[in-house]
Parts: sequence; C-alpha cells; structure tokens
Amino acid sequence: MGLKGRLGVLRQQAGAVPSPTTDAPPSPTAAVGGTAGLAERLSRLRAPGTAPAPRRPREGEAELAARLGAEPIAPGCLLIERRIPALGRHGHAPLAAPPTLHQLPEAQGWRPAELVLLDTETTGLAGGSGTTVFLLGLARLVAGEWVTRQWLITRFAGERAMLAAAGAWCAEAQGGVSYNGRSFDLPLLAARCRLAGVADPFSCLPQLDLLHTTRRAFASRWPDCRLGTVERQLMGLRRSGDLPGSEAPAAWLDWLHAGDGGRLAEVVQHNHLDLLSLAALLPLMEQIYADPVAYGADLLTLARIQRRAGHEQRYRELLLRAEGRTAQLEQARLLRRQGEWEAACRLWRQLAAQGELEAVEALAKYYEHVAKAPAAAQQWAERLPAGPARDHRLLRLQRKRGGGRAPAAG
Amino acid sequence: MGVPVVDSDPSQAEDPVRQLVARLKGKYGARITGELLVAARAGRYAELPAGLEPRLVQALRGRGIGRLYSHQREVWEAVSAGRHTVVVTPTASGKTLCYNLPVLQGALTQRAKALYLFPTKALAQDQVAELLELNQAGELGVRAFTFDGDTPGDARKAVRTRGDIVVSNPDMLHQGILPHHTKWAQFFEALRYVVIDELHTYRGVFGAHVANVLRRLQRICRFYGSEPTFILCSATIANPQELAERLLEQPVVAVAESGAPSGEKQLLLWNPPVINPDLGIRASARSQTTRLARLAVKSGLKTILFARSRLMVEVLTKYLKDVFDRDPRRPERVAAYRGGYLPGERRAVERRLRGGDLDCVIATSALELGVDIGALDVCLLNGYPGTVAATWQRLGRAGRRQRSALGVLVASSEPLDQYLVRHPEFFLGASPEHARIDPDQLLILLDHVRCAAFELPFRVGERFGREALAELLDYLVEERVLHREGDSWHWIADSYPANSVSLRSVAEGNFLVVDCDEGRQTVLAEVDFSSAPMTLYEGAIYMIQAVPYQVERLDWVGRKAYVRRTRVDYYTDAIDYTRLKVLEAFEQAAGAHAEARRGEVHLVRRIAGYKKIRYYSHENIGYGNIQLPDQEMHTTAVWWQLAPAALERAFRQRQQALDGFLGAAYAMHHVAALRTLAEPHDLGRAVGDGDAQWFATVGSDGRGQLRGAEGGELDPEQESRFKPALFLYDNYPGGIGLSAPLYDQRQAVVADARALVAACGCRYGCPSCIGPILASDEQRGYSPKLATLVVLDLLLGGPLPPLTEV
Repeated sequence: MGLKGRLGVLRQQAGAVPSPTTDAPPSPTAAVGGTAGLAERLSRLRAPGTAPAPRRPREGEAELAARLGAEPIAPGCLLIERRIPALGRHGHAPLAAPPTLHQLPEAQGWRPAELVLLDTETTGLAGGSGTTVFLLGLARLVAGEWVTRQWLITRFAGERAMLAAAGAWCAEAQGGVSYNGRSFDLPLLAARCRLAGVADPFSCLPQLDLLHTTRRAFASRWPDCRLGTVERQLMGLRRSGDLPGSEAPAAWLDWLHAGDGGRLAEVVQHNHLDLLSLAALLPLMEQIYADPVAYGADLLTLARIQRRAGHEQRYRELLLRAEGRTAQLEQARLLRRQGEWEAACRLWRQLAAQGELEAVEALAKYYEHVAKAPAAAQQWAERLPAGPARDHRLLRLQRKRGGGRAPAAG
Repeated sequence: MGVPVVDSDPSQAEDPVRQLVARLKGKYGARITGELLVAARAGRYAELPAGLEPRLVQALRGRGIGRLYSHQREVWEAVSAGRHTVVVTPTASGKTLCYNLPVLQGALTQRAKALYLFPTKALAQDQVAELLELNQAGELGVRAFTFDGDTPGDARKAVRTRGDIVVSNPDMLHQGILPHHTKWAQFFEALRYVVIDELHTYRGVFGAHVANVLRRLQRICRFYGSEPTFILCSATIANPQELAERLLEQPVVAVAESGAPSGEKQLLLWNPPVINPDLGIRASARSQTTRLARLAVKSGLKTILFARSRLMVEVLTKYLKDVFDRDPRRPERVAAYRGGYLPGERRAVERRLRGGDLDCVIATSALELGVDIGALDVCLLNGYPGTVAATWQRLGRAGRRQRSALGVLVASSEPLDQYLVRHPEFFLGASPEHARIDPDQLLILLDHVRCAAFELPFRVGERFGREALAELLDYLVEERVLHREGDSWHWIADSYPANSVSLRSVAEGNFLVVDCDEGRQTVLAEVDFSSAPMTLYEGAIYMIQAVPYQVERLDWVGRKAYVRRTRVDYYTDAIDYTRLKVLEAFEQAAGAHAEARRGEVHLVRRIAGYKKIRYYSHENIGYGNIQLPDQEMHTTAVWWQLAPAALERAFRQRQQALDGFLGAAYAMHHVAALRTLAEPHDLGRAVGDGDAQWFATVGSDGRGQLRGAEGGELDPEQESRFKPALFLYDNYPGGIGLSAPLYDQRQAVVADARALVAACGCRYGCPSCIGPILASDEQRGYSPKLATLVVLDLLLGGPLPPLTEV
C-alpha cells in the first residue's frame, strides 16, 4: 500500500476526517469490506480531489491585471490605485480631507495628511504564522484627496514585493488608522514581515483603531459594532452585492488553485469600500466625540474615556449630561467630591427611591458624618441589607444618639 | 518474634531499616527469593570551574555550595565545548545545577536565553522556585518565567520579550509557542540553551510526538539563525544517549557517573506464599504489600507504596487507612497520590510528604518523576512495574544521603512477576530497558508535518522525518491544506493545526468526574479518554483517596461522569472483549504446521459489563451491564495460526484447542513484553479467527468461550471454519513500532513461553503460566496446561504430538 493509502486508512481509524485512498488494503484471510459509511465518506471526499467541478478556463496574470485595472509591479504582485474626488461621498458621508484631530483621546493633534488607513484580506482568521495576507489596502491623503493603493498577490512569490512596496508608500506616515487592526491586521502583518524578512513599517506607528473608538460610543446603543453596522447607522450606506468578507479566502484560493479569478474583483472592491469607510469614519468620529449628544452616543463611557485621558473638565461636562442609573450614581459621586451636597443628595434620594443601595448607603453616611444627624442617618441605615456592615453602622449610630442597646435585629 | 539482630557495629544495629530487614528475614525467609545490597557510596567532587562568573560563585556560596559533584563539572565541560549533553542521574544528585550553571553563566555574560522543558506543569513550577532562590541568593537579576496554559494573557508579552529563562512544557511549545514563533523572534534569535528534563518520560507515543516537536523547534531556530545547545537529564535507562540522539537527531555526549553520595540500599524480591497448591494459587501481592507497609510504618519508617493501577492505589489506601487512620480526630498518616487527582490535592500531598507529616503514601507512577517529596525510608512495589528502569526509578524514592533504605518488590501472580522472582539473577543482573520511540510513526509524523508547514513554508530538499517528505506534503496539498508553488509548500487552510494534535495520546478529550451531591456540581477528578471506558461506566465505583463514589450517569459526548458518595462494601472491575480483523499482512513466515504474520489489524474493544468485588474477601458478588460505544483502534500486530489439519489431528475437541490457544496467548503476551522491552500494557493479546467473525475469551468458569461479532456465545464445534489465530498487538492507535521487533523474535517468544509453562510447578495451569484456572482438571476432563503446551509445540514446528486423550 502506498503512503497515501496507509495514511487514509490510519487516519480514518484514528477518528480523523478520512482521505481518499486509491488502493484498498488486501487481507490475507478475507476481503476488506469496510463499512458502508467509510466507502461513502471516501467517495464524498474523493470528489474535490480527483474530479474537480468544471471551472472557467484558467485566467492568466496579465488578463487578471487588465480586468482589475491593476498594474503588475513585481512577479506575483499587482497594484490597484484609485483617487477619490474630494467632493465624493460614501453613503451620505463626505470623503473630503478631514481637519486635524482634537477630540479622539489617542489621536490628539494628528494631522490626517500624515496618516495611513489600513485594511487587509487574508486566508483566514485562525491567527499564528499560517495565515497569509493576500490583499493589502492602504489609503493616504495626497494633495488633499484620498488615494487608495491595493496590492494583490497572485502567488506567494509576490508577498515580499507587496510588503516592501506598501512599507515604502507609508514610510513617512506618523500614525495608522484601522478597524480592528490592533488585534487582527497589525499582528498578522508583523508576522508576515518577519517571515518574509522585510522590515515591519506598520507596528511601530501609533495606532488609532476605530473599532475601539466606535465601541466606546455605541456598544451600548447598537446590536453590534461591525463595520457594516457603522456604515448603516452613521453613513446611511447599505452595500449591495458586496462580497461578504468571510468569502474572501475562498475567492483567492479559487484563483490560486484553478486560475479562477472570477470573484477577485469583488474582493478588491470590498476592500476598497472598507478603506472608504475608514476615510469617512475618521471625521465622523471626530464630530461624534465633539458632540456626542447629537449622535445619541454613550455619554457615560465617553466621559470616562476623557477622564482617563486626563481631561477632567470634559469628563464633567459629558458626565452631567449622561442618563441612566449608573451615570446618576457617578454624577452623585462627582458632586460629593466637589462638595455640592445638596445636588448630590437630590440624586441619591431619586436613586434610593428606585432601590439603589449605593445611594442608600451614601445618604446614611452623609447624614451621619456631614449633616451630623444620627436620627436621619439611622433611618437610612435601617434600609440597608442585613449584614455585619449594617449592624456595625446601626450600633455606632445608637451610641451617638445617646447610648443604649442596638435595636433587635429583624 | 524474629531472631534478635546481632551486629558488631552498634550504630548499624540501631539502624531501623536494618532492624526491619532482619525481622523480615527471620520471620519470612522463605518468601524472600533474592536480595541485593547496594553499598553506600561516597561523593566525588570537583572544583568550581575557573571561568565561572563571580556573581554566580557568590550565589552558590550563599547557598552553601563551594564545590561541585564530579558529574556536574563534567556536564559543564561538555556544554562549554558546545556539545549536546545528556546526564543520567539518580534522585537527589543535584541534577538541576548541571543545567542551571551553564544557563545562568550564559545569561549573565552573554545575555543568552534558555528554554526549559518539563513533562508536566507541576515539575516546571518546582524548578522555577529553585532557580529563583539561587537568583536571589546572588542577586543575579536573571529573569525566569514559566509559560504554560496558566500564564495570563497580559503577562505573556513580558515573558516573550524579557525572559532570560522560559520554563514550559512540550505541549505549550507545540501549541502556544511554535505556531506563534514570530512573536518570539527576539527569544529565538538569542536562544542558546534548551534544557529537557525527565528525558526518560519521552518514549512511546509521547516521545514520538516530542521528537517531532523538537524537529519543529530546531527548524524554527535555524530560521532565526540560532543553534542552541541541548542539555538533557534522564533517570537510569539503558540508552539515554541513544534516546537523546533519536529525539534531537544530532550527536549527544553522555555523562553517566553520578558523583553524589548515597546511603546503603537493600532490595528484597518477595514471593507471596502458595495457599492452594492444587491450583497453584498464591496469596495476593496486595495482602503482602499491606502487611509489609504496616510493619514498616509501625517501625517508624516513612514508606511509599507503588501500585500498578489507580484502582489498586485506592484499594491499598483504604486498607492502610483502616489500620492507621481510624481515629478521625487525629491527623492523617496515610494518603494516596495518583494521576486524575486535581493539582491542588496533589500539591497538598507533596507538601505533607516534604514536611514529614505523612507516614505512608500510596502512589502510581505519577510519583516516579522528580516531584519533590523529600526522602523516604522504605519503598514497596506492589507487583513488578513492568520494566527494570521503572523499578529502579521507583525504588529510588527511598534513600537518603546518610541513611540506609529498603526496597521490596512484591511479586503478583502474573507470569512476568513470577518469572522474575523465581529467576532473581535475571532482574538483579539486568540492565534497564531501552526507551524506544518511533518519531516516524506515520500519523504522528503527518500531524507534525502539518504543524511545521503552518509555522514555515516547506522548501524542496528540506528534511523532516524519514518518510518521503514530498509525498506527505503532496498528500496535504490534495487535502487542500497546503499549496505548492515553485519550490515551496505554503499553508492555505484557515485552521490552527496544533490545536487538534495532542502530544499525550491519539484520542482526545479528558473526562471530568463531577460530584452532583446536594445539587452542587464539583469537579473531583479528571480521567483521560483512553481509561474512561474502563473506569467511568454507569454503576462503577470510582475512588478518590479511598472514598468511594458511584457513577450515576455518564455523559459520553459531554465527557462528564456524574458521581455521588456511596457506602458500598465492594469495588468494581470492568470486563472487556476484543475483536480483531486482519487488514493486511506486511510479512509472513511459514513453519511445519504454523505460520506467523505481521501486519495491520483493526481492533474493536467492547466493555461489556463489570464485576462487583467485595473488599477483603475479594469474592465476586455480582455483575452489571455497561452500555458504551465500542472502542476502535487500528494498529499493527503479529499473529500465529496453525494448519487446520494439524489442529484436527492434535485435538479431539475444538474446545481443547481453544483453551490451548488462550493459555498460549497469556504466556506469550508476558514473555513478549520482556523480549521486546516493552511494558505489558503496551501490548495487547487476543484469540480470534482474524476476520472478526468470532473471538475467544475466558469465561467465568475459566474455560474458553467462542463469541460472535455481537458478543453472543457460539459453539466451536458448530463453526464451519475453525482456524484460530493468536494475536499480540501494539496497543496504540497506528502502532508505535513494537510489532516489528516482536516479529523478529517470534520464535524466541514461543520458545520462552513454552519454557515458562513447562517449568511452572502447577499441575493444570495457574496465573503464573497460562492464566487462572478455576475448574479443576477433573471437571474439565483435560489439562488446559497440556493443551497450551501442545499449541506451543505446534507453533514451534515440532512433530505432531499423539492425540490428546481425555
């Protein structure tokens, strides 16, 4: 039995997905029948390997390049460059050059002309060194207009040229912008650069990941924060006939295996639209962070971001406009820190009426320690849940009110 | 009472170990069939190396180390010369310093990085603790981190980029490090040393996997331009150097002489007395081991018992707890330790052992490794561990540098045990076994070619294993996992292959034992996939620290067994049937009446039911049925068959022939284990027709039974075709290379088995030769032992014996 046949039988027995075997193992004592299931599974699996479905005739690299409007820049590497008119729109969002950024905490003072937008298409999502970037799309502002460059590799041999050319184009960039690039595209590019032995120009750039920017503002408002959702909600854009990102790997593998580049144009277009969404989203997010109320964004989360970035004034502004119990509790904490007891107590009473225990406790503390009113403090303390903290507080209040024993529990 | 000890040296006469030995010899002299005295050995020392970094010298002095043992210095010299080195060391001989010294020197003087691999997480943690102490003593500032499944995500980056020494295990290297090697680029570029401890555990399936992981590691190192020196440590096996070279596929220097001092050691071989001469039945090893343990503990000696199965650990623990831990108000003196306990429970037992709080521990091979439990005085082996190497490794658990120690090997009634205690010269003079690995086992190799291709594209002309690499790669191309482009094969699948390859077994998915008492669900233990069917069937009594739990429900798909505390007075033992079907013969040889073949077989194992066995009396008090999916395995085997004409002439009844085959299989299985230097459970045996139409088992009456494919009983006389085959198979999916050496020795195996049976003192057969015989000769009407000898003679190709008369 050949190596392939041995592997097929062995792997099937070990519970793995079986592989095609060409020579069934003969038995000295009996013919090997095998189970019906095995034969069936074998024939099913044999289908793609030995009898491929009829495909289009193999397309050449030059034909593919012509069809995509691409320029071959190295063996196995095509470049597609497009200029986006400054008056263009993406959905209803403008695609003009954005102003310098001031509102986004991790991108303070960034000048859009120094940025590079980045999106990749890959052979999968598994991560590790086995995932390949086959389409690398970048966008930069050139003379006030967005220009996208997309490098598509038609063979593995084109990978190094793609990485080097992309690196050269953003050599002067000061910052990178992506959607989920921090955890996906950038580590992957770092691995590819390492494997290809070229310098990694992307990882060293400060990064603005607009997925995080979006999540802070809208995770509590929208069902999800996928880029498609962002486009619908903020740009009024519904892509029609767009190739789902999950089908991109298959589209490239069709080309790789059978020279069938039929769907590659759709992949290139999909990636191009992703880049345009990044270009449109950048000024939008700047506006949203400047005026979150107008966009129905999550004020509490945005407020906290500002605080973490050290912008105390902006934190207060946003927090005081936020709604909801958690926000009110935090507002009350802020007022307490500022010594605005009256306003804080008003909030706490509202919250206590809704059964918010933190507010009940805050009121008990306020009356005991600030207002020095043990009777009122005791009333609030008695509403706390049973436990050592409540007992302790009541005992102390009892003493303050003139000794005596604590009221019997219950 | 025994004879009072008379000894010229008063200090020796007071030695409690010697006193115990004298008592045993006086009282049970006839049970001791062999003994060996290993004299105390003085230490051999060497100066600290001249070039040793002064800070390191300072750190050693701080820990009271002013000179080295000779072997530590030898390792230093070899490693300094850039040679891969394996050091063979007994327990407590300072092996850690052998590798810590060059590694720390490299880290301090050249910013060299090192990777330490231990077979288990627990061992890794012990070692880091020791490293940290040395580091602190000298304020060396060397950063050592563990990297395993427990390392939190946010700490991983620091380990990758800042660690001088990364301590991990092969599984983590395989699944967590190599597939992400680009993140570890800095580490691999500066990697100078790879330390592999407990080398002897890397054999069989695990060893074959690890050899492939090391192929991948070296491939990645070449990519980053580093060429680390390997330092390996092994317990005593026959071929540490060969094993190391097989794992690394590079020349390795061996340092085999330990310079560490050791106390006197005495070893006794102990055969339980015969209690039924007719049936050749001896007292159980269990009863003898328990008695010896009681004597030792009562003499104030710290004692460790090794049992061969988890079940036996629990039974022995119960018996000894019944003696020593009867009073719940007093601290426990006896504890069990085995695989399957949760890590916390194991650590607690280790701590109590180190602290001297326990007087007796009952363990499986789980304590064979270098887990630090301090030194003990007495080591009792309940049954031969299966190999000379494992025996010495376990015996090494007893013995301190300045005190004498005792080891007792208590033979069970199994043939191998009996063979050894009756031929003490065989064991006492034997060198330990060869550890074997077959890194080119096809399934394992394929798994790792897949992982390696994920890590880096393969190029034409590259080597990985000894099979035709290009053919394997093309196979993966056909599977659409790889893509061939010019001179390279690239990974194109959207998957992470290492996650579906387990280094420990071929099957995957441990079972959790869940206590569902009082509505809460608590995980009590973990059981690996392969032993789950034999231990976790519904109705099974599963014991933890001798506390019995009954399995109420088994969720096979969800890999959980739900158990509840119980108070039954029995334990359970599963009964299994094995059917085999021959798929292909690779080679064959024919004799006068017999033919032997080697080839591939398909095996189906059915766990049909279980026996309930009462404590202490060990009588069988009932049966239960088990409903479980059949276990399937594809492996290689050697099988023997006799010409039907010869069988017809030699036996009047097929029943007799069947009993002869079953007896021969029993004897040959055990002899084969010895001959192929494997452990008995590495091989399996079966008698069947080779076509899975019928198979034979020993029924509860001790007679052979023929069973059909569905397990129903058949009448051998009614079968149209009766050509029994005796199978010895490699007990691992795909085989791990045991059948080839077995086939080479096929004649010797039959001849040894014949000698074993012929020389046995029993009349009709016994557990020490052809297996337990329950019905007496008179009831049966013929001697199964004689039938076995007839079968063995025919297999040997001797002349046809006269018809076996009733």
